[in-house]
Parts: sequence; C-alpha cells; structure tokens
Amino acid sequence: MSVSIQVCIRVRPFSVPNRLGVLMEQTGPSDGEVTLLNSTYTTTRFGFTWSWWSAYGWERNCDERDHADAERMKLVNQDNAYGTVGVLIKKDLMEGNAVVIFAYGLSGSGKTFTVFGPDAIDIPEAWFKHETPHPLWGVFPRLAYDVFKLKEDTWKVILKYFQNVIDTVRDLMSPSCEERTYKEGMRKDEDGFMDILWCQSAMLDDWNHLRSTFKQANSKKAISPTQFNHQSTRGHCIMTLECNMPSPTDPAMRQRGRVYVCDLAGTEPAGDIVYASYSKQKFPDGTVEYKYKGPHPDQTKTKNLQNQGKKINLSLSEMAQFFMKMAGAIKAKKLKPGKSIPGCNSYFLCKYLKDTMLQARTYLFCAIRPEVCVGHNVLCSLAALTVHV
Amino acid sequence: MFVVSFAMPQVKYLQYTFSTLGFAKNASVIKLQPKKASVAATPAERKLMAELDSLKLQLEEMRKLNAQLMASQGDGSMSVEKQAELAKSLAAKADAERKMKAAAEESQAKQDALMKQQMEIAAKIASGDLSAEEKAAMEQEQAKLKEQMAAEKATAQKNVESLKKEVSAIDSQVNSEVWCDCPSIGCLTFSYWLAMPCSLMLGTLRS
Repeated sequence: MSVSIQVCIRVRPFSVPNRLGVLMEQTGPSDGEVTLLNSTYTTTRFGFTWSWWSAYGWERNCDERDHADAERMKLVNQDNAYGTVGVLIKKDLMEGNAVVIFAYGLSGSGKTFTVFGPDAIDIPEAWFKHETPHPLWGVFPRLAYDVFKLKEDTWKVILKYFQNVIDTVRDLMSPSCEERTYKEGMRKDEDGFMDILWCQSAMLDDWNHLRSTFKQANSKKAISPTQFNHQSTRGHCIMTLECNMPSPTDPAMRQRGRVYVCDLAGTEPAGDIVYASYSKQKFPDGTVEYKYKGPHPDQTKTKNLQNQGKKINLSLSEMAQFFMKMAGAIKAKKLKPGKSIPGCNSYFLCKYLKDTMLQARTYLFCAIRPEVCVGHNVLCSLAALTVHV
Repeated sequence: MFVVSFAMPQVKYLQYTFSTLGFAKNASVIKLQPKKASVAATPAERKLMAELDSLKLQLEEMRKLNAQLMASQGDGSMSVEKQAELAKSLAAKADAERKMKAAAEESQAKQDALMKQQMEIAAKIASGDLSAEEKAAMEQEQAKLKEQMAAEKATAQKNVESLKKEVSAIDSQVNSEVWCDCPSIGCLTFSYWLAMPCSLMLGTLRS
C-alpha cells in the first residue's frame, strides 16, 4: 500500500514588527491551507495536511491592518501539535514501521522547536531537563516519553545521534565527538535503510537514561547565533530511535520500529550571515524573546558561519531538486510508489535520506515566518565598509 | 578617507516562505512504499522468550493455586508412600520435559537453517544483480523454502503439543497428590523459584 508524505506547515512568532505574510487555516482533520498575504505572487493558496498558526504574541508585532486576519487563526501549541501528528507517529512506530520526521525551513523559523522543543544546554526550559511532560516539549520528547511508558522488559530501545557539518559527520554519541568524512561507512542495512556504521549507539533503559544520554550528545552539537536565530543549528542533525520488540504475530521474529528525526539546518542568505550577539527579554505573559544586538566583533567566527551556510544551502538545494524531479516524474506517471530517481546524491543529506524516506512513513514539518520582510534596520548595520585611500 | 556604505536589499521573508511552500508542495506529491524492518530473533532470544512465557504461565497458575490453598486448610503432613509416588511422577514429568526441549531444539535448528537460506536468497534478489530468469528461479526456491519452513513448524508444533499433553497429565496427577496433603508453604516456595529465573532471564534478554 502506498502513502504520501504528510506535510505540516507551521508559523513561528513574529521577531520584528511587520505586515502579516500568511494566513493559516485548518478546514478538516487533514485539510490544511496556507494563503500568502500582502504578496505579489500569482499563486497564493497551498493545500497541505496540516497548517498551524503558532505565532504567539502576534499582537505585539503584527501590523494593525492585519489584526483581523490574525484573530481568525487558531493558535496551535506544542501539545496540540503532538495530539494531531505525534499520536499517528507513535502508532506507526509501535506497529514496527520506520518513520522519518523531517523539519525544513528558513533559519530560525522553528524547526528544532517543533521536533524537539527548546534544546540549548544552557537554558532551564531545555526539554531534556524535565523529567515529566513540559508544555514546550516538541514532538520527539513526547513520543519518547510515551514509548518508555509502554516499554516492556523484552524491548530494546536504541539511540543514535549525529550531525553533518559541511563534509563531515560528527558522532554526537561518541565521547570524543568523533568526526569522519560523510561518505565513510554510509551503508544500507539489511532492510534497505541507510545507516552510518561507525557512529555509536546506546541502548536505553528508561526515559531518564534517554534524557541524560541526549543531553550529553546535544552539548556536542554545532550551534551558533546568527542574526536570524540565536541558536542556529549549523548542520543537519539526524537522530534515530529504534524500538526492537518481539513481533506480536510471529514469535520467531522481532520488529524494529524506528523513528528518524531529521532536524535540518535552515536555509539562509549565506553570504550575509553574521555571528551575532543577542539579549534575552522576558515578558509578563511568560514568553521570552531574544533581541538581536548586532554582529560579534570577531570576523573569523562570521567567516566560518558563511562557509557552513554555503554548504547547507547547496545540500538543501539538492534536496529541493530531488523533490521537484520526483514530483514531476510522479505527476507524469513515470515513477512507481517507493521508487527513486537516479542522481541527487552529491551531498550528505540526499545521499542519506532519499531512499530511507521513500520506504518509511514520512512526516515533513515545514517551518515558516509570519512576516512579509525584514527592513534595513536589521541588516544594513552589518554592511558598513570603510575604505582608506 | 571615504566612507562607503552598502545598503543591503531587504530580506524578503515571503520569498523564503514561497520557496518553502513550493518545496512542501512537491514533497506532498511523492508516493512512498513503506516497509517494516524486522529481524529474526536469535536462537538464544527465542529460547529465552519461550522459557519466559512458560515460566510466566506456570507462575500465574501457581499464584492461582496458592490463593486457593490459602483459602482452604491443610494439616501439613504427607505419608511416605505419597512422597514416593510424588517423586516418581516428578521424575516422569522431568523426563517428558527433557524430551520436549530436545524436540523443540532440534526443530529450531532446522528452522534456523531454512531461515538462513531464505535470507541469503532474499539478499541475492535485493542486490539487483540477477537476470530476470535467475530472479524467477530464486523466487521459486524461496517459495519452496517457505513451504518447508511451514511444514517444519507444523510438525514441531504437533510434537510439542503431544508432549505438553503428557506433561499436563502428570501435572494434574502431581497437583492432586500435593494439594490433598501439602500445605501452602510448598507452593509459595515453588513460586519463588519460578520468579527468580524470570527476572534473571529478563536481564539476559536486555543485554
């Protein structure tokens, strides 16, 4: 039986005062619609499985002319998100399926927040610092928490976590944070799912074991502040959680349900990216905003980020190309379900993911921003150049 | 000295939003063929699981019997003749269980060999290096092996069932002998010895 990729579009809160760029509506359980506002595009309506408006605090920054539209939209929090999609993912996993959760979008648009929740090691709201469910937990912590509640003594739960930074893979589970070229050890396992053989895995006993293991691994993740995101993930992060359990139908077999959480690095204007400084601002309603102060004085930090950004964009472009070609071939009825097209494996991302996601149940979370544009005040200050003659 | 300022163009978020929606639109068209990953339980795992299941069942039965005994009264004594009869019955039971285990192991070994052959053939088919004729022949071979496996499983099941009946008959005999004369203490002790291997085995399985 063939299925389609389930797509969810989610809008993050405003970061600057601006006109509203999108209208998000959910007309049925799996009928979401996104409409572009204040745009000059000819195509403005897009249909997806889910369309979520999560721009909490929009009243502070949304232009008054758009308040009527903003008021029409129902806010979706982390709990609602899991209640809609997470339960489906849990069912798939418990039935022994491979599930790919895959977050895509502009840098700072809320990909990591959707799949994990806050995950910076230095903040108290980080998901792995909470033993019991927290309102800011993303899809994965809620899923894992539920899995461990169901776990029986005969189950094995195995975690693997790594990050692709430029042309290397960094094993976040390895104590020495081992890095190797991304092509090394990338093989399909006996079921046809891609794996990186040399990356370490950990067998987890319980929820707290997962939290501590993840916390340790996550501290090795490459994150930097840019003008778009105070915690920009500087490479594609892939975490796999395998639930190996006796098959309910055949005692001689064990089913290996697994979830691949792919938190992709964001697309960004790589040439303009800067290593940024931020200040944290708390509001009476409990929300926290990070205000961009300006670029960091150390230019080498900026240079490194720009190099990473270029590679990130190239790999994401390849993924976009892959989807475009696949969609074209499917529309032309030249491709059977689950079959792939040749090529599109020059960068880590496509090479690792393309075959795996075609034989898994794939959920794509696309994160977008609510604003139409960001004015000169955010970026122009970066571009002053003094020339001595 | 001249100061030249470059004004950057505005970052049009809507451009990124539009391209993200385009990406998502293409993705939503793609058809997937999900498949489940599974692995054959190792012989050790299967053996442990089977033993664990049988021990769990026995433990449950014992608990029930224990509850019954606690509700009834016993004088705590057992005659020498009864003890001899009980020992004889228990020896017969142990013998039947040994036979059952040996039959199960023998059948398991055969099944493992068949499974291994099937996996080798599946790997060859999946490699995509075969011509259409070779692939068809492999698939035929695979079907044959599956049939053999099913037949082997059925035979093993039959053997195990008949031996189980034998064990069960002895069990009821033992129960009638014990529960007529023995106090609940024996039952409680037996429950303890069943619970112990259960927990030990779970530790082994996890590792």
